[in-house]
Amino acid sequence: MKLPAGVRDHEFTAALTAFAGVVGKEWLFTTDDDLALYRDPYSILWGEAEESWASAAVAPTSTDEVIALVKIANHFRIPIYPISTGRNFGYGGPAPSMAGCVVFDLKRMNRIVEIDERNAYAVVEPGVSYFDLYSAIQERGLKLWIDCAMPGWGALIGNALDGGIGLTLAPYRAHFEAQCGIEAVLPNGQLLRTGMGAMPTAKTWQHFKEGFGPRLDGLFKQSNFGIVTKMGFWLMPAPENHTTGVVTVPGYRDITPLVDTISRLEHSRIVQGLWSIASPVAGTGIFVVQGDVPSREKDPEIQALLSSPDGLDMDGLEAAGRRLNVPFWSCEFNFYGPRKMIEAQWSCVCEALSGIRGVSFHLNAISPLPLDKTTVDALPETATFGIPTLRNFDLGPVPSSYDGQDVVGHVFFSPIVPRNGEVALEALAVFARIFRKYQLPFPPLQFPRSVFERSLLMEMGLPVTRSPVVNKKVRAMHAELVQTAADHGWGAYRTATAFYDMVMDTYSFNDHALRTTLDTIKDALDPNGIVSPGRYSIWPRHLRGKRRAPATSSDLSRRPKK
Amino acid sequence: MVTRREILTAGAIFGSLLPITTVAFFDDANSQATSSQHTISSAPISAFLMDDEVEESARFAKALRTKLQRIIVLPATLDSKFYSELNVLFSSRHLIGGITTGAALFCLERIAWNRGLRLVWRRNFSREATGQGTIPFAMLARSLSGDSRALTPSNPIRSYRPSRSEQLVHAWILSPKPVLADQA
Repeated sequence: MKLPAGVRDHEFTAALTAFAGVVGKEWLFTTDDDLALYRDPYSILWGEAEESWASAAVAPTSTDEVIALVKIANHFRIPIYPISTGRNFGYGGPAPSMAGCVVFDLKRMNRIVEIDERNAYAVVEPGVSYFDLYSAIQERGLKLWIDCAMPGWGALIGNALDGGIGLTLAPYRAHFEAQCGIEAVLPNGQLLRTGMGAMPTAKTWQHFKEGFGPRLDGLFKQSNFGIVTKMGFWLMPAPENHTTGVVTVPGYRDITPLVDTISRLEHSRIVQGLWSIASPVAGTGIFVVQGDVPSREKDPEIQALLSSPDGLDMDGLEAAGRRLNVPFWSCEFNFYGPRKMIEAQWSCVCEALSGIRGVSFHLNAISPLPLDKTTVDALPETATFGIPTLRNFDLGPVPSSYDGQDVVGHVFFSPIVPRNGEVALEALAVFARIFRKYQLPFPPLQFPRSVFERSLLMEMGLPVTRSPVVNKKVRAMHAELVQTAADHGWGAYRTATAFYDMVMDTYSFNDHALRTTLDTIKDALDPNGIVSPGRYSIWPRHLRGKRRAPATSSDLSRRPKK
Repeated sequence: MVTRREILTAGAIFGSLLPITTVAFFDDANSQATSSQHTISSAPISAFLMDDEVEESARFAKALRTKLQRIIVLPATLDSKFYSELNVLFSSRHLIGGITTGAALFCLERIAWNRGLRLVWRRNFSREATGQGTIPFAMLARSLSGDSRALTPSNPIRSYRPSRSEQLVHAWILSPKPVLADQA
């Protein structure tokens, strides 16, 4: 039997017996076979001494059971680690942030508490997946959409708490921003409801985020201040139609007015669907003037420019694009809603961007919704339509091998960069250099995503293998990416468990005031330090000496600046 | 190659079942995660999950269709409807078998675990060799039909890769989690 650090054998046995008394023996997991499912299959520390492992797992089915379990954990000082479904692969999966935690697997708390079509919201428990909520809405014939993560088996609550994102309209894409009202079991076992839910007779828990007094919801995002047992989400009214429109511009410097103008349209709520920029000349983009498309993949000049070890010659690429009549940039917009609204939005986009020399516009056919099954089945991805899937079971990473080792997963590096074109290009060049150094492919001109309303997200998957030597190299690469990004003022907004401390080190304003404030809150809410020690680098007082996972810090060739 | 249509035409087929047995079996000695002995009540699998990306899976399903209680074809896209069907299937708490890619097994194992089913046996085969009849159909047929004595030792249960790129296919059995006497 594996023991949490500092817990004696007989205490742990007594705690497990008490846990089983709450949930039943069937839902207490202690064997190696069972606990293997709480390893992170994409762990960058796989098989190494620093890989986090669970000492046991327990699966309650109600909030009352969670409260009872938390009280037991407090009594025996057992570290616990709640997960919803543990599907955030690439960001840690089900594995605890510290070895020895008892995983609180909330998969059996899978009730959809409420769906309100009139006010467009749902209240769910932690085990409810995107598949579950989507199915419930479809079965009831409700005119509502969900905004789902692309792997549809993730849980709404876990994904939102981790900072997950989707692909529909701006108010719903950042999943934590779409929540309204949290119920959480605090580390002392007390049950808290945020916002209007604090009023026992509240009729507006999911109607009004502000509540009375400070908004506490943010305390539960990427943290360890409680166990969320219910959460409300604002849902999107099912739109009447959908289409895409594509704008192309010929010059690489056109990226600046293109992004600035689109952002202004978005800030004005004229553009609300996701837009994405790509580069047809580099072969990454959508280009709708089909008759004019040359075989750029076979164009030797472009191929030579794209594969240059010295980086991209943007002027050269632009000249080649002009010669071949291929635009440098394209931007695809998603539009939803009544036909009149879509046409009006498109008209505004065209008018606003008409000042860019050589710009072209193409609005695709407007399709009534919902799409028929044949159309859905043919889509490359369905999250744009609020439809969850595990398309082709395609969880596998690209490339399939690295440094002679099979790639079995990925860890994400996810920095946020400012929403302007020239900085985005700078970021692409900076990160491409690091990828080249580590001999990893970096798709040229893969423009960052506009999923957040006021910034750009560069989400890069780094390969995970089963080789400790290769994984160590990838950790060093990740450290270099984190440090380099921080040097430029670009912070990772989310990271895998192994890198919590490394990333938190970069948020060091005023002698780590953020960290010390979080420590203060942790001490106040969780004096025994039982809930998810180390999650997002928030450590309880008695474990702060362990801050900085040794296996990751020793890999750093350059430590993040204090 | 056996097509999805051929399998679907065969439909849900209920064949003769072998007697239920209770046996013990061991994982490979070199398995780190599954070195302990499992004692399970063995019964015929209640469903066979066919991965039509894997030719041997379809061939097996066709060849054994009169022996298998139920054949379920994995869709290329796992959507909410199929996810719901899987949850119903796994909630029935019977043995489930299949021959799939590692990537499909990775998903199925985790969805099954939500309903308390665990991977208890797995055998991998080279994809390059499958066309030459390397997968021992007769052994699998007996084991998937309830004769666990026919089971060859399992490969280390969870050492497979969650990848479609490797050249392996996996035969496997999911079982309701046993409640061990010494547990808690």
